[in-house]
Amino acid sequence: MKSDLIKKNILKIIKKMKHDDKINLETNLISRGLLDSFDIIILVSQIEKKFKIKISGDKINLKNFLNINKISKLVKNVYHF
Amino acid sequence: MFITFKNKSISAILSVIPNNKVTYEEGLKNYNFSRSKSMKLKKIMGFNTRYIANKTTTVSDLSVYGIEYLLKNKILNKKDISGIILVTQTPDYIIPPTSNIIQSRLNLPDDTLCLDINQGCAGYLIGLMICFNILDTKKFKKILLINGDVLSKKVSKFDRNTHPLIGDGAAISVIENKKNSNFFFSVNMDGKNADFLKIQAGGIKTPSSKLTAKLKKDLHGNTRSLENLSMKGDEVYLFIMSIVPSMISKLLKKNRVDIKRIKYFFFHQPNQFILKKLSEKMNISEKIMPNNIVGLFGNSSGATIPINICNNFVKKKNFNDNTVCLAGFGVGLTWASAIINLSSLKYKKIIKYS
Repeated sequence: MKSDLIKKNILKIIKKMKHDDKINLETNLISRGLLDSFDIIILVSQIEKKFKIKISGDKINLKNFLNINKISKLVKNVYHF
Repeated sequence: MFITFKNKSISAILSVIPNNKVTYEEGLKNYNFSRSKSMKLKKIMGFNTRYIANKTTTVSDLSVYGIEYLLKNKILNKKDISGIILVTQTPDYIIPPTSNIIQSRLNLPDDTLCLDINQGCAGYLIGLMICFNILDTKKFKKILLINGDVLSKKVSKFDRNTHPLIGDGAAISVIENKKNSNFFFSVNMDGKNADFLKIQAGGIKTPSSKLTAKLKKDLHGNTRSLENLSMKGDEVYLFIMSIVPSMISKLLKKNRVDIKRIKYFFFHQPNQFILKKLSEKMNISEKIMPNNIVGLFGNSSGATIPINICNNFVKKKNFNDNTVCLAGFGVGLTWASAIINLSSLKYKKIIKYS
C-alpha cells in the first residue's frame, strides 16, 4: 500500500475518533492532548482492523504515535516486514 | 537472577473470590469519558466482571475461609501446616503481620512459621521461591502460600486507569517437598521505577491526612487521591512489553528448555490487550496463554496466576505434558518467571467467600 493512502486512511480514522477536522499530518497528537494511552490502544485496534496487520506490542509507544506521519511510517514498516 | 529448585511441588490450589460481583458498566457513570469510548475499551481490554470484597472483609477473612474449607474437605490436615507465607499489599494492619492473625484464627501451634511479604503482581513467583527455600531446610512439612489482596479498597472509583481492572481475592497454594522435575526461576527488581505503581500516602513517609484524602483530577481526566493506587499506564505497558518476552526467552535458554515443552503460559493478567500483544510477540497461541481471568474475576494482583491455574489448567496423564511457564510483572518494579511441573497438583478449585 502506498504511503499517501496509508496516511489518508489514518487521518480519516483519527478525525472520526476525535471529532476534529483540523487535525493534519503534522499535528502533534500527544502534546495537544488528542491521544492518551487509552486512545492509542483504541487506535491500534482500529488500524489493525483497517489494514489487516498486527502492530508489534513493543512498537506501541508515545514516540511512534506523535503525529500521523509517524503512525503511517509504523504501519508502512509492518507492511514491509 | 536465575535460581533452580529440586523436588518441590504444589499439591493444591484453592482460590477464594469475594461474593460481590460488579460489572464494568456499573462504573462507567463515574469515569470522565464518553460511554462509547469506554465501551470500545471494554472490548479491547477484555474488562467485564470483577469480584469485590465488602467494606469489612479483609485478606485474613478470605484466607481463613479458604484454609478452613481445605481442612473441612480433608484436602489439608491441620497438623501438617508448618508455615504460612502471606503475600499481600493490603494487610489487615500495619502491625502485626496478617499471617500471625491467620495463625491465631486457625489455632495453629506456635511453631508455625508466619511471614508477610509486600509484593504484588509478581507475588506468586516471589512467594513460591520463599516457600521452596524454606522447604529446603527439610524441617517443614507443608507450607501454605497465600496470595491475597483487597486492593479495590485503595482504588478511586473515578479512576478509569485502575478501577475497571482491580478485583479482590485470595489463593492458597499448598507447597511441599516431593520428588519432581527441576523448577527454574528468574527474578529481577527495579526500584528506580517504583513510582510507576504507587500508593503515595497512608504509610509512614506520608501519613493520611485531610490533604492526602482530597480527590484531584489528573491531565487525562482521572480523579484520585494520594491514598489511592496510581498507575502510569503507558510506562507500565512499555515495561511489560520490553521485559517479559526477553525474560522468558532467557529463562528457557539458560535452562535448555525447548519452548515446545511448555504446555501452558500462565501469566499475570493486567488486561487482555497486553496478553494478546505478548502472545503475538512471543509467537505463542492464545489457546495456551489464557487471557480470560481479568474479564471473569478482575486483576487481583498476586492471586491472578493461581486463579489462572485453577480456572484454565487441564492436567494430563503424561508427566511431561504438565510443564508450564509462569510470569508475573508489576509493583516494585518486579518481574519474575518460572518453569514448573504441575503433575503433583491433585486439587484445584475456585470458591466464593460468604
